[in-house]
Amino acid sequence: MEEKKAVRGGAREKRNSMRAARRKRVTFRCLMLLLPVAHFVLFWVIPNFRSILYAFQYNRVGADMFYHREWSLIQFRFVWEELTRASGNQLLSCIKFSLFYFVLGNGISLPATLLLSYFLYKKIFLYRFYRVVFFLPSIISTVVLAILFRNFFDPVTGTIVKINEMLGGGSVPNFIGNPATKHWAILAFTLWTGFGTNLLVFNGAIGRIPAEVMESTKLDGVGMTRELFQFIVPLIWPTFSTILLMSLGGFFSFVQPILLLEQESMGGNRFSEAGSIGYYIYYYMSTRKELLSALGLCFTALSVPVVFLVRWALNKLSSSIEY
Amino acid sequence: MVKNKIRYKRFTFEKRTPFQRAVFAAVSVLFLLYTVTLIYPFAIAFLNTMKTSAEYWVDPTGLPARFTLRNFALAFSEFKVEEHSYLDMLGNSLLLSVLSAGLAITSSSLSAYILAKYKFRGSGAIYVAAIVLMMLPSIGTLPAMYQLMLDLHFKNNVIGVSLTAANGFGNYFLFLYAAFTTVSWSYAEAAFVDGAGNFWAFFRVMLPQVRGTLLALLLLSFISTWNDYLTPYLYLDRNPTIALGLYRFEIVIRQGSANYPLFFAGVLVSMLPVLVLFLIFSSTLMNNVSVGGLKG
Amino acid sequence: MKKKWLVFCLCALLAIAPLTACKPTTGPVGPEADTTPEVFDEEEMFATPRTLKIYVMDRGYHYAWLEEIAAKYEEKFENVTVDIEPRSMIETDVENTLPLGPEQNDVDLYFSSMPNFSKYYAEQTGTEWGVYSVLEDLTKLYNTKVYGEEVTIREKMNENVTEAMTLSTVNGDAQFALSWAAGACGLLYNTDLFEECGFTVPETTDDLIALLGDVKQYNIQNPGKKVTPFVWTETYWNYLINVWWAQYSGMDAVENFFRCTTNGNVMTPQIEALTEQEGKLEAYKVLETLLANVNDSSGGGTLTNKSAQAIFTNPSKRVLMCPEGDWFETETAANGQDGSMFEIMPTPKLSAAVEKYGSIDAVPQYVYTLASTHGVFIPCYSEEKDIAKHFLTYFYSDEAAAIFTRTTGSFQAFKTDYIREYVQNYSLQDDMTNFRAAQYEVMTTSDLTFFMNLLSPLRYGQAALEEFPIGITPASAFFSKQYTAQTYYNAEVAYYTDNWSTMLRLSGIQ
Repeated sequence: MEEKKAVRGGAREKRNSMRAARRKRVTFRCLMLLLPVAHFVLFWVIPNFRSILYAFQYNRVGADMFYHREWSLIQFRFVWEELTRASGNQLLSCIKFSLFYFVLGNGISLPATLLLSYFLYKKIFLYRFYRVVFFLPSIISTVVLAILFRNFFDPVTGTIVKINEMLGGGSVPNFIGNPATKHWAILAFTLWTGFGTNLLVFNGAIGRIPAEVMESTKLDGVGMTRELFQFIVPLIWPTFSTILLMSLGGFFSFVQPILLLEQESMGGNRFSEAGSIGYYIYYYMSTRKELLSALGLCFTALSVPVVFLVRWALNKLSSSIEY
Repeated sequence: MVKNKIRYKRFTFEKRTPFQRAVFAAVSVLFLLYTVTLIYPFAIAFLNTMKTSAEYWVDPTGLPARFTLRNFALAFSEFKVEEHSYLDMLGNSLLLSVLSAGLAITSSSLSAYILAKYKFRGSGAIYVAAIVLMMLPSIGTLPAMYQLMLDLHFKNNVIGVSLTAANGFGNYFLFLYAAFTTVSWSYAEAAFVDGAGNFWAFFRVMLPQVRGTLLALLLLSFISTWNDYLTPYLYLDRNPTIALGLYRFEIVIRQGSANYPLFFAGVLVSMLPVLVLFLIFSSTLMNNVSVGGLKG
Repeated sequence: MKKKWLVFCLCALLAIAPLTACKPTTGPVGPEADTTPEVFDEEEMFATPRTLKIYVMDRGYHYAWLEEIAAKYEEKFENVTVDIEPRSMIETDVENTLPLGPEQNDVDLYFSSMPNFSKYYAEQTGTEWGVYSVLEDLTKLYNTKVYGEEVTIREKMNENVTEAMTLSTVNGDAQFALSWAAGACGLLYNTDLFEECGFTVPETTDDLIALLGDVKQYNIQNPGKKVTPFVWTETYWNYLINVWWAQYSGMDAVENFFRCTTNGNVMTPQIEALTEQEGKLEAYKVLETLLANVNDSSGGGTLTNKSAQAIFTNPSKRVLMCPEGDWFETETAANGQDGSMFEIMPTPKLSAAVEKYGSIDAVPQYVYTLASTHGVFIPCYSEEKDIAKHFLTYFYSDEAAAIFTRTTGSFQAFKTDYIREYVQNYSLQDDMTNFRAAQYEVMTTSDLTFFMNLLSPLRYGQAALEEFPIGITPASAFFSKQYTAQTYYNAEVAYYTDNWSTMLRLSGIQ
């Protein structure tokens, strides 16, 4: 009997100590995750939750001239009506420009960065100097870069005036201010400043390719094009696809260059002729918050499958080489 | 490492075919052109700082009559937005950047470590959720976020605004997760065997293993916050940072004295702190960014 | 274990919920039509030291005028300190500080642009309802006598400007702001160049168009001394379009456009107020003709005002005319440019209106002013609002107005007779530059037209209807030949027609 008690007592002790150890582990994990989860709840869950609430609200003006808040699906109707406006359709124009900036921006910048880093890897003349200089735009404030960019193209005080004179004179084009060329100016600015960190990332990724692999391509007499496209690109594909995935979010949040290059006229801020979706949201932040919330929900719903599709496609394309 | 270095050295002087040499020459020209476009605006801004305002309006792209750094000296006192001096804004930038960077990296290392090294029920789901949520943009929540900041009285509060940076599941989480995955668990096990607890193992054993990445991310985060003007524009309008101050200083100049030489001096002066930081830490930054981040 | 997590989550959600709750509401309070004046007990008011904190717009006129007026006020009344803070982004400051309430905002008086009092009226701001939680009702102040004079502020101010500042509700009319500056905006011309080339100041738009023909001739005959007719900031053409439109259709029609209604009641919008504006079309036609053959020297028609000013004041560019405002001289002087040889011409009368009404004299002489977008107002929770109001009674005195005019070259939005009175009584004409003398002449011989955007729910609410909804200004559209006057007008009409019901719903009316 006493033996049994001793065994049971020993087992109980063992269970208690296991429980204590588990409690310690759980406490450790909870404490470690406290800050990240608290931030997540406060700055992600709550704003999104409130945003969802806004999407179902509507301010009706009563006969007394006051707003009366109601619950309604009308904001989604407004989203549809904004998208299908027959004339003066700002939202559609913004979506168009968002696509323009995203497709052309990434379509030019990512391959260009890849090429740049390839030649830096190949130690082109002055490569160390170029590495530093090309990285500088990502260190320097976009505000500074925008000021200098605008200054260059100023039709009265910019260097463009001198260039225009050298090319024969005539009317100086207002590259940034003219609605017809505004979006090209914004794209040019984005590309001009956008090589920065990606360059280092690709450079680092190429540099991590084992020397033996690159040596073997040399020994096999592989040309530069084959080396780049058949060896280097597949080997750094995980990096490349991560960058691409991360830039997907930029589709909706692209707004800084537009704000910085817009010339404020004394007549007040008018809606930019080359605005993006992010710009639309920023511009109407105080007057149309309910509509923006509904719009956000719609966009999120649409972008979820797109993101997964892109991720699947990128994974399919990669050959998952480990080294 | 040394072996590879020698190998690379051989590559530099390897024979190139005429076609390859032509390609390299063409690319060199392109690189040079791009470099010129990057350097020229700063050079012309620097030259303009030496002109008087009247001189600038007469000949904005020519050489100055006299080479003087007077406007630079003035910029330190004249670069102000309403009641906020350059030093005020510098202080705000410093506080915000240090706090934001510190909180961001702290939060990210905590979550990255737990999810990379401790497998428990739900850890996989949290990781996938983090990736998914990071890819999914939070569109249209700006008004709700703004209202929240007002309700929490975080508006115009530098410390409050820096709390928004304590994101444990963002880009930095990805880099640190990757970094922690490569650190062997045997280090921690050795610490446990010696009687260390979980916290000790994390802070004194595992975290130092990724200090290269940590430092690089801290620097990136610091610089990114330093240069950000949208967040201060929304939440720190009465307590501006340098980036926001520069944006508003331009408006002050444009609507007021139109003394652009002074303005350019202010612009260049605002770049100094970050340039100094870059000069000191350039190799750390440029060698340790393994997955990378995006500007803006 | 699962249950515990569920309970934890529910508790967390419940804990979060209060943070997401809507703010409490108290019942709405409407204005009462008031004809009584403010009564100031000066003895009590100035018994103890008081500080009046002012935010002032730091643009065009800057703020030397306010410093001088404040100094005079401090001389007159002991124990008052006026603390002036210039703000270059005053609109943002107003938006950010007004709703903060007394604990976080200590500003007593704003010299700013127009507050969106209609929007404040309709909304919940802070913890109370509507405009009374942010703005002080200044209706009584309007009924109060100007300091040291027998006339009330309402009697002294231009009644059209006052009406533009009036909130009309079911309970009556109220004013929440006053205008603090009114100068002439329109077509500036280079008097020296006009004299050199032998051009005369046009009286009508046909004359102005004919002038362009004269310019062409002059340029052919003097190839080495070519002149350019215009340089412009695209939005400043509004100063002329608005005048021509008002001359053709009448000020009531212009007001209807901004109020989006033809029966004066902003709560019952009517599409005709927006779509039947022939005067606008006539104005566009003139602008189209003016810009049709102009090849400006740079910028493609989309210059900033600083660039346009730099070109206009540069003698080597030889530009004849430029649409500008009363701040032109002060601004260009700050750039080291000489603006003294430029004068504003009386806005040429619309020839189509002359034809419509039979004679040139039958068409009213209008000038555009920014009086309606320079509003001074008081937060309702200010502890010094009695001093603020008292200060304003002094601000509208002839003495203070003379200081304002002397330092800025602009005027107050008084009735013409009162402007003439204070200018003459303080001999301001003796020191006027050509620019200022021309300003004075035009201000005292023209009626005022101005911008009135904040009155209809279609404009201040979620619909956020802009003045030019097509997204491109008329000047830009005509200069780039993207639109003709007719197609631009048609596009505007089509915009209103296609989107009318959406706009009503967006604004909360339907």
